Amino acid sequence: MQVPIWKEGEYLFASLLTGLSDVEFLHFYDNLIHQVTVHKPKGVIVDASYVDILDSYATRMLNEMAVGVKKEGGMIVVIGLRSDVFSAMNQLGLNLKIESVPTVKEALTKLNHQYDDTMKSNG
Amino acid sequence: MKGEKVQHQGVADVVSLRVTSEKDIIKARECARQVAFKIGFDSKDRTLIATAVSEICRNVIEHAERGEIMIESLQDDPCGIRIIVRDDGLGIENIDRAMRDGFSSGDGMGFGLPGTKRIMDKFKISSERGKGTEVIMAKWLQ
Repeated sequence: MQVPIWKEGEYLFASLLTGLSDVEFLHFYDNLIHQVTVHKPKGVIVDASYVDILDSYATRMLNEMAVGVKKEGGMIVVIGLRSDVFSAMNQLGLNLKIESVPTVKEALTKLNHQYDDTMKSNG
Repeated sequence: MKGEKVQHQGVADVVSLRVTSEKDIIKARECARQVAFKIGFDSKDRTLIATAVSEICRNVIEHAERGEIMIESLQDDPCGIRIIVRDDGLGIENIDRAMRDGFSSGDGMGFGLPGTKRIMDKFKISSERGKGTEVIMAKWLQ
């Protein structure tokens, strides 16, 4: 099962699937970093609406992806994270170090703000 | 539902699964989610139970390579789900340390055992060096 990643305009999109194995998560990580390096997007939007669980391994992988994307000058925003999944992560003590918003529209707003701020600070 | 079904006295239903690969983690948590659904747990609790199973089975794969999980449906006094995970790995040297938030000896974030204890209503871990580890946890239907 491969996580689909596609380019739309100046952004990359990925749709997390439910029941991803650790190896599939690693492939997703490698593929995403590769795509970011190639396309240099303004940001990455990861749709998590199909995900019914994010355990400590998945959370750590997502956090590492955020670090990898940031190194390439981008940012990840997660959309559609279910409230029960978010609640279970919180109760377990897991900290997703990625912005999470409900919709694509809000994700694009966040990414554009971040991109503008980066451009300003780079002069 | 995949897994071997066995019947124990006082337990309505039991599903037993071997945990030998990371794919078994996914099978085990899906199985737990289905059993929890049959018992009557709501979506929020089903996700909590599945997350707990994922964390404990991950410990088996990381530290013992193989083990087994039994998911039991308890129908009365109290009604709920009981999950027993056993492995015959090296065991945990210091359970108190392993139960501290942030302590990790594997690929996780160090919240597996203490976090799981927080999200379940009952949690008991016993381990003996060289003989393995057993986790018994339960969640009651409110």
